[in-house]
Amino acid sequence: MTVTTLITLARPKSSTDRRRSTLLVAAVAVAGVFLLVGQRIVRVGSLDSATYSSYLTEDGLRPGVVTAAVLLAAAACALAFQALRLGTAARDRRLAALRLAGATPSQVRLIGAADAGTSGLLGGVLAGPLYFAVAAVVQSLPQVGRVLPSPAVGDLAAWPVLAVVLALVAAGAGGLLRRQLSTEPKSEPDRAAWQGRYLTIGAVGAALVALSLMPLSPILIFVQAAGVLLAASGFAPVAVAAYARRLERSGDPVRMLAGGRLLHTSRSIGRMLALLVVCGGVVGAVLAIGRDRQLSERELAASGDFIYTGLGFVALLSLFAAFAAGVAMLAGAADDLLDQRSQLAALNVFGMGASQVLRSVRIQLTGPAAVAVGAGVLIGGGLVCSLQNRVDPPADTSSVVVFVLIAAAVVGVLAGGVAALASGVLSGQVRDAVDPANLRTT
Amino acid sequence: MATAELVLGLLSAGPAHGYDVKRGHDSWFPDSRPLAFGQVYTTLGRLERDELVEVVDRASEGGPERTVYALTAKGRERLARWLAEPIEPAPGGVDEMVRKVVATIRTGEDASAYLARQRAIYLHRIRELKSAEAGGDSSSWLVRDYVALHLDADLRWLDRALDRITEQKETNR
Amino acid sequence: MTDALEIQRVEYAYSRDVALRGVSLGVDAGEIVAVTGPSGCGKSTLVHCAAGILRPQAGTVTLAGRNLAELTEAERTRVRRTQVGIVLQFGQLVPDLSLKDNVALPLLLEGHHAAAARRAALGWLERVGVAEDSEALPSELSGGQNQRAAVARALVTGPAVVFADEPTGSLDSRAGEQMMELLVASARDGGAALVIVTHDNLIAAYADREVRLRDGVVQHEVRLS
Ligand SMILES: Nc1ncnc2c1ncn2[C@@H]1O[C@H](COP(=O)(O)OP(=O)(O)OP(=O)(O)O)[C@@H](O)[C@H]1O
Ligand SMILES: [Mg+2]
Repeated sequence: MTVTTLITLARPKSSTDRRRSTLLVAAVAVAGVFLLVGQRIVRVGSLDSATYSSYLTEDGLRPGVVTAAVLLAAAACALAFQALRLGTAARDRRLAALRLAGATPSQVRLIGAADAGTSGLLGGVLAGPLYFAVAAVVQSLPQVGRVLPSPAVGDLAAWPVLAVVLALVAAGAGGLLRRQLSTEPKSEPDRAAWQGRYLTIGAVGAALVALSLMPLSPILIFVQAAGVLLAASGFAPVAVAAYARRLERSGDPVRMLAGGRLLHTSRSIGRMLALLVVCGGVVGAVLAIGRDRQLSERELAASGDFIYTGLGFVALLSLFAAFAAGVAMLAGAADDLLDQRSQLAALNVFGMGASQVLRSVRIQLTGPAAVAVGAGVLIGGGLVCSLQNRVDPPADTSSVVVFVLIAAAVVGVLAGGVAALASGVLSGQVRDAVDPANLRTT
Repeated sequence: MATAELVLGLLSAGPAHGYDVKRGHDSWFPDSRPLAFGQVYTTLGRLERDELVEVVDRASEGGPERTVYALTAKGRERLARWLAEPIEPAPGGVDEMVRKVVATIRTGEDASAYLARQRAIYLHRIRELKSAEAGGDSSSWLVRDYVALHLDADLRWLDRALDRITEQKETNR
Repeated sequence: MTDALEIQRVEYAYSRDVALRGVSLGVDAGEIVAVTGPSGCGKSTLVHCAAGILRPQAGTVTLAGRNLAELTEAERTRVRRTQVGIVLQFGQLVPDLSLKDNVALPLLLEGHHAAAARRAALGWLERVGVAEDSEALPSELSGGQNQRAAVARALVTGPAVVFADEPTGSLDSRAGEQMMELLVASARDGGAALVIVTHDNLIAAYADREVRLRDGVVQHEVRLS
């Protein structure tokens, strides 16, 4: 296969294909920006504490900022991965047609890799200018908000390296995703098997969190965060599947449709929900710390700016991650609508119109998002409370506990509301899906 | 018509009277013309002359219908050879329907009215063949399927022919 | 005899093509009508107009005694849900739901009790011969089995007319004929008229009447029974 053939075959074909690759490029670019930020901070020497935020100038805090950058890059990567998986059904059919036309499995993988790799490279290239723009913006902030040093010459060298690395990683992921094409599983391979695996992962995470809560535990805060992430990634898909089964049994057609879809996407939805749990956790922790700080005027006077900037940044960043997860979930739902359009058009004949399908999509997104964020707030806030309790046993944290409970409910409901509003974005896709013209498609 | 070989086939299950041979034939081909007695006996006579069948029992009061015939080894071999040979495609023979359609077009008659009549009668016949449930002998559906599929082939040819004629008319106009 | 379906001088044009140029057709209760004709002659469009899925630009469609043009969208949906069953070439079952839930869906949409709807669905799955797969997903079964479930879904509401657009198009000829026998028997069983679109003469031969379209008009109409 010549290079031109490869590029022709790998290039996005339909408008949905193009939308998918735009999302992929954007996600990779954002991930690239955060990685450039991370490497810049790692390589920074000593800084003038009058110019920059103390998060950068104090050696003890710097690794925290780097970790935050890496976590955000990871969130963007999760979005990129999700974008890569979009349109799989339609694309698989096209690639299966290529297989029939005589392409070998490795050629099909190569096409998948070329497709993803091009987007990865483009994202990596865009990351450079974006990074410099972000850095310029940060420089214009007041000292307390300057968490990023001004760009260095080294960044110019790191940028192309990063672009190549991102392209290679994307190509690898793209090729890997195509591998399943040759041994395509007919449906859920084995429901019990994956749930067992996920429950184990969740249990390990929960154990880490529990260990960190023991008195005098040597486990650090990052391990605790990792524990929460593991527990959420393990338990969320299983919980989604259980919720989906309940919806399916309900006997209300709209809920059944939502349940069926959730059940068969519980793992990818679960991954996004895990991200939401972590974001909720950060918000919960921030809220609990903030609430607690308000109690002691003394500390506030001493370092209020410092603390609130930190909390603000963290909250903003977790919002970004939540946004990424939300976009991924919406994109997945849009993809499903496109993929099932002929079935949905047939349902329309039986009286399940656009409004009901949209309601079903809303059910799929709203409940899980609300619960995930609420649970996250609860977990984050709870962990902070327990920590405070340990640091200062006689202090009365009951008011903070009540506050966390209320915050969890409020933020959860808020998240659900945002999800419900956001699913309205799909009303156009829903209307296209139930169009009788789709009765002619396979 | 390979009546001789068919008779050999009818005897392959075991010795039989001429009457059994006729009955067997008619149950194998319930929708075809029945085999005449005369034809059965002349065929059996010829087969006996060629040593393809032999008389194994002849009732004393005589009468050809009391005679029991059986396959010889040579007869069995002949039957096997016949069954093994594929049929040659019919060499350019033209069916009644083709003649009619050509004549319809050449004389300027309404071809689509002819199509409607022909479809009605053929589809009706296919319908009859389908609704004749698998009663009687187990092989009769084979024959019915054969007839139905040939009627289908005729109809498809007719469709195509008239489609092309209509197209030609439209382009000529 | 009351007509199950009465189509009068129906015209339908898509943005680029005129698909129907004044088609009239009546279908008696319990009758089986085959709609045949070359590709693109308007068969699917006719069925979609007759089933109340498309609104014809001219002419009238009367389904089970209701003139569809005089109904609101909601009323039309209700007529469609209760009086129309539809079977398409690929079954078009919801891939995430079991066969049983797929068949129960029209009843559930109609507001039936979940348990009763599922019982009725199972009954129909039994009649079409896939009851043992009632918990399976469409993707776990063959095209023929899916198609059988689609027949059950079309008949579960007890419609006046079942429309089948190339229901045997994706099956081999033997499976196609079995499918057709099932459709005919099921329609009889449920007391529904059957309008079947097909390219296949052997399938059309099951009908009581053949209506042949060409370029959006009825070319001929012949009685087969
Ligand atoms: N959604 C559409 N938009 C525009 N034109 C259409 C659309 N659907 C069908 N047509 C056109 O309308 C005409 C009739 O189409 P229709 O699908 O009804 O034919 P058909 O007889 O069902 O064909 P087939 O046997 O191939 O299914 C065709 O010329 C077709 O190109
Ligand atoms: Mg069609």
